[in-house]
Amino acid sequence: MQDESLEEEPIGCIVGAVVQLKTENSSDEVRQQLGECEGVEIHAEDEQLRLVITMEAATSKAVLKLTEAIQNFDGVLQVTPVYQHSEDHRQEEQPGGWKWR
Amino acid sequence: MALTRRTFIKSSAAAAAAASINVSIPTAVHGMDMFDAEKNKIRWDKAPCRFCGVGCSVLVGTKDNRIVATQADPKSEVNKGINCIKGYFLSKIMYGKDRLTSPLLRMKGGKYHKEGEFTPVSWEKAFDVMEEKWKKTLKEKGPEAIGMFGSGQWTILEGYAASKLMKGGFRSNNLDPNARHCMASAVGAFMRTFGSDEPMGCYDDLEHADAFVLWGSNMAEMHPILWTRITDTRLSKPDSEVHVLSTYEHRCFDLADNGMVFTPQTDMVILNYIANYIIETKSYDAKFMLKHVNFKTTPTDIGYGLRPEHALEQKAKNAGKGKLSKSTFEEYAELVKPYTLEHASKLSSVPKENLLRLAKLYANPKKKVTSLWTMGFNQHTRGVWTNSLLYNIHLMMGKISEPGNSPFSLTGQPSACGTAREVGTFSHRLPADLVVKKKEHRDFAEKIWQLPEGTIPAKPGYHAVQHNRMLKDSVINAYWTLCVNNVQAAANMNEETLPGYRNPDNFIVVSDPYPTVSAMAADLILPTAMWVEKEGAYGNSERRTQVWRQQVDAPEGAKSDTWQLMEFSKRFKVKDIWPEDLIAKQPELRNKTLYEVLYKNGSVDQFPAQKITDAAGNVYANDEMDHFGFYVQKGLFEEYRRFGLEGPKKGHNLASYDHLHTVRGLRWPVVDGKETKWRYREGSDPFVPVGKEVYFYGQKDGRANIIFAPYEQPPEMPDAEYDMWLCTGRVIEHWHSGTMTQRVPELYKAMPDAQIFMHPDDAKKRGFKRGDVAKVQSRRGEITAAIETRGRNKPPVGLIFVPWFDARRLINKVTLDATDPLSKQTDYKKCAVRIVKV
Repeated sequence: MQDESLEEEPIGCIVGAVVQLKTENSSDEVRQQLGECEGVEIHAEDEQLRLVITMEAATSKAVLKLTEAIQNFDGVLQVTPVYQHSEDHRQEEQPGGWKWR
Repeated sequence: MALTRRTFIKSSAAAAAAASINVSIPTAVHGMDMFDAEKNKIRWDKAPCRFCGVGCSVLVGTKDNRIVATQADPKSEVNKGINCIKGYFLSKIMYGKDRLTSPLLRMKGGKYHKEGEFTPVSWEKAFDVMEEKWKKTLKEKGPEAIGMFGSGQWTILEGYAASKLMKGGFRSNNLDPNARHCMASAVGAFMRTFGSDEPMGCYDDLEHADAFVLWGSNMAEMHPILWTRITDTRLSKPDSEVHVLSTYEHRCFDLADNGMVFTPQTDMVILNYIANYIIETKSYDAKFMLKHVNFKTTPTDIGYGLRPEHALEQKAKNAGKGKLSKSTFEEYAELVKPYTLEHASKLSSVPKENLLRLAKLYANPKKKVTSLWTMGFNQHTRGVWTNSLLYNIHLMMGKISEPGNSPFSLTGQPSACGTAREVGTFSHRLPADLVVKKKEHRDFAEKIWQLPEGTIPAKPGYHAVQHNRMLKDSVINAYWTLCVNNVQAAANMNEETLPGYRNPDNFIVVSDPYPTVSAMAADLILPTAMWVEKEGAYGNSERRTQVWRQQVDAPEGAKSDTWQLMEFSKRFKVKDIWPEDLIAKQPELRNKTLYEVLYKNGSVDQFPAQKITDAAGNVYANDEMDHFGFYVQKGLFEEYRRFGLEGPKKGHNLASYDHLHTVRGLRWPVVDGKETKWRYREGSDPFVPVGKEVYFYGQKDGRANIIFAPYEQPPEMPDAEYDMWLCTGRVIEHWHSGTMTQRVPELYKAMPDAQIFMHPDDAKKRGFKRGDVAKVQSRRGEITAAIETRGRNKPPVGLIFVPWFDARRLINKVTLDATDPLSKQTDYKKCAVRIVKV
């Protein structure tokens, strides 16, 4: 992500989260996997095997997908979101629905 | 590097996440300093999350009268600076494209018509038609023919305003909340065991406990924040353990040291086995039992809360009975004796070693155990019994009312406790644990409400499940539901709910922000302001009351439930709806409107309009204050609070409204501004007399009841024709019926359609592959959905799980409307179905 080039672009969705790793051994692998995810940045790690990350994407849908993907990494026990900024105001018409008649 | 808005927001996000685990990030702080101006453009203020019963505090970021960001509240003792993914999308729930902004009335030829098309009308016109229907019903049939269905998602103030209007104004007890579907069994057991509703412990137990036992609760998905706290304890405390019991495997099993999948309803067998084990090994705390416990038994063979003519009700010897009889420890020991390890293992299908490990945990006096449960215990035809069976174990061991030793009933809704239970918006209740059938309690409520003696009817009204039956039978004819989607939520909707709503004798009003299934089945829809579009207060699972300010304006045309209830009350005069003998007791009320009697009564309107500001000087709107000319929310709360301060049931003291605005909530009883973490424990609970150590003051003699109840079968079990169990429930992406979450496109796409979670062997046996579409059929109805054999929920052979959020696959066409005969709560967790090809 290059900040300068995005200055004029819509903010979309930015989330700050904590990733709890399962074991010490999984740290390198998870770090590498996170590194491969577009829009994900690691900011810190503590002794209790927790990583501080941010996720950025055009829509919150994409960030949700990222969250789920990270949650499903073998070395990850839990992803806990903390901060969410959303300037993606699109609300799509829901398909389906139900009517009495 | 140039600092942009993006880097600033990202820095804030990273800093908040880091702060939640006490890590500091220097660059982030730098970014925030640089962008102080940007920061000031967003106004931050606290509010409890709109979704579940955990009661997380979130910081709501508002810019240009719109919520743009939310952040976990670092000052919150509940969520300690973290969120779950539902909280993630909080800022979006109010902005669905199909948000309602005008009342919609079914009309034909310019007039109301039951078979008409929904047509936008003014609020004036909407209330005109409603008034006419209410007055006609009251005149022709009396107050028992009107009804209101409310919500554990109502604010405390809305619930209180509604309770006053129904019980003190219209003089009808036909008010019940959707909490009947989720918490009634828990309430029943609290009252029978302790004589006072709501848990003795609090969330602090999650750090104090050595072991956690989940009984019918998928906390990883339904209470993720509390699950995170349990995970932290499990990972950081040596020798701590997690036991999970469920009728199917779910995400909590990932952390379980002892995971157990049991045959539906046999939780009762397992609980009695543990009690038996404790007695046989003499592990119980004899001193505690001698001082603090009475033994009781309850009538058995009590039926299933079905319609009285149902064969199962006819067959039951003691249908609906629950009067307790005195018993002794020796009798109790005899009664649990048949529940041996062999017997429990055989009936439950749980291996002996797992059951034994669980029993040993409870029986070990050195292990602090916190037991947690939700709908698995409560949505149970023997829910009240089952809740008590667990208390029996904690009471025998004295593992109660102290840090870490805690039988903890979790709630599903944000104010199931605060509004439904504490305000008492049930058909039999009044605020602060009072009940309509006790004259002393009615007298007290009438005193606070300044109403003549005899205003509140003594007979409990119809409960939730009966509402639908009574609508179908044309007994209730004017009906208003608010903040709830009961057509989708109630069991057996095809045979009971829909026929009731569409009955030509009835006029049905649904207040909701969105066109829900219930709204579409109504005759009049009223558009509602939601969450932080109004000032409010919620009470969570651990007795914590939290208040918030109005953050943004509701869409033009949408009004809060408080506004709707109070405005509608202006249309009724006492002389038109009360009997003469009652008016004669207080003749000055004769020409007053219900609005004047209930709300402009010198008490609710005692606080004049004022400017609402926070500590930083930000100014907030308050639409109700602007409209009615006084501080409505504060007046309602302070009048309501008198029930706890002055009422006949002690220990329900709430903090003042102004105090609550300055804190992240407080756990009642609050005395001299100090909250109570552990009830009934000397030193923690100010109502325990000095020297008593533990005192269950809800009961006259201060002793809790150990209540024996046997295992009894559920009303419907798989047989040759319908060969599988059906269990229903929620998934993390969706909140209840999906009214709010289905409107967040991201959440909708994550879990768009309800699926049939099924064991691969069951699918194979019936010739299905994963993804195939199949029909789920019961004796009552059917739905079509896709089969999932590899999902997050892994049922055992013989059971399927179907979530109920999906309005296009309404699983409640299939479910059985059997209830616990004592609590009247529906069992959504078990009925018999078959799976066939489409």
